[in-house]
Amino acid sequence: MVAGLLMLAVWEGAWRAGWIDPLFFSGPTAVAGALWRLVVSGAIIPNYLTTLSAAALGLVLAVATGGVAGIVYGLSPAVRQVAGPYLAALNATPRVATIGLLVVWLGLGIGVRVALVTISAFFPVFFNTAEGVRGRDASLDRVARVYGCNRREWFTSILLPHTLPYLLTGTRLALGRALVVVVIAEIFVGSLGGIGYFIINAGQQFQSANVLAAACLMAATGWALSTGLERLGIWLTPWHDGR
Amino acid sequence: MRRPAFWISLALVLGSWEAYVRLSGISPFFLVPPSVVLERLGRWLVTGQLLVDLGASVLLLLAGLGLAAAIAIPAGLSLGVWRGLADALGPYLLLAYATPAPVLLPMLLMWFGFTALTRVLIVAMFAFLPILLNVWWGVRGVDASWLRVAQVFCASPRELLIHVVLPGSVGPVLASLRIGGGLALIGLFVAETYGAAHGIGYQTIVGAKRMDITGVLAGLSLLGLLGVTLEQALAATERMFAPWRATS
Repeated sequence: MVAGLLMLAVWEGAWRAGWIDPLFFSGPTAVAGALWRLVVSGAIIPNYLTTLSAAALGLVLAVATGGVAGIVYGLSPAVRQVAGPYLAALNATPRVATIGLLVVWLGLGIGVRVALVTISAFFPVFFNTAEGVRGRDASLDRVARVYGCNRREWFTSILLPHTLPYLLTGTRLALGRALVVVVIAEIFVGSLGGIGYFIINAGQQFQSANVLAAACLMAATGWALSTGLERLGIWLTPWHDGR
Repeated sequence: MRRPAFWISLALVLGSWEAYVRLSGISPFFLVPPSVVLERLGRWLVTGQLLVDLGASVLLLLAGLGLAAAIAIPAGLSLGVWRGLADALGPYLLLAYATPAPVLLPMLLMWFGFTALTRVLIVAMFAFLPILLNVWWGVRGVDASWLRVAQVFCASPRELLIHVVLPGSVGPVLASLRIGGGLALIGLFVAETYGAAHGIGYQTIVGAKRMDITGVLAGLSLLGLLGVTLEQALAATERMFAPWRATS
């Protein structure tokens, strides 16, 4: 905490002393002022919301599909045999590279960004869930059988609670990916709007304070969402210790 | 490679893709059959274009990844070893980690222009924090019982560092490189948008701008190949230097 305040003070001092060229960088008070002006003038919030909504929608889809697919994958060796190599290959490919293709197929609405976020965020959720399901202790199933659980009870009382922490870890990783990918998409295709467009635009006009203001906004958002997910995870799965 | 089920499914997937495009009469602006993509790849190979682009991309990737690793690995090790440093800087690093990397892109472009240095820095920027943080967490996660055993045998702090912590960190360091590699690949694609004249990502982008779906699909498959190769190479390195670790 102290270290941070110290760094901020030093930075502000350098800014006031005129050591920092306002074309290339800025100072804390200038950035704060710029952020305030941008919010008040309505220049940044609409962009911010379109970025966030695309990321959120894509993430929800990714978690839904990734969770289901991960459970299926974890439970079935046959599926792993056949689908394994495809998934490994798809995972190794940077999905952002499909942006050109997606724009051709889906046009320039919110659908494009949601699709890109979904295919990018799918894999962390999927692999983490699958790993959780596949690596589960065999005695869990045996205990269930001893207690005469039917299929449905086994699924809801044993498999799902066991898998949930892994799903949540995957979601936390996917969140980071989702934000990165949606900003990249907006940087690439300016007509999509959003924070990515805003930040590149401001950069091209050398509006350093604005660029930094947007960066701080995204940093705060990323941190808040990540911490929120962490708290949610702890609240939802009190039986799971450690991460 | 030995799984017949996979090869059969691959043949089925490619076959139905080919059949679908040829039979449905879908516009070549939307989708092209795999045969056309393979033909384009073949042409790239024969004209030597493939070698030039692949070389440019691999060079950029290694430069960026290397730069990121050169700084991030020692930094991560320091954070893992010195608790005080970790307590002071940790929260800010986590905040930076939560920030989407491309947000710094305009700053890099402003400061360094559209040069090759910028492209290397973009790749490095994507890989830096994941490598640093994973090395840090890896060092911190070195089995405490190893440290205790060493202390029972009267190891000095320096001996602890050299004989327990550092060898125990080799695995996490290599694992972090694998994680960083995936993000570096994303960085590669972004970097080749700015001032590049060669590269697999560059070809994919050019294809997208020209509405040349064949080029885009060919570029994508090469990017996938690059990604898989990188991952396999890093996994093999991990197995070679840290065989006691179970790699996924």
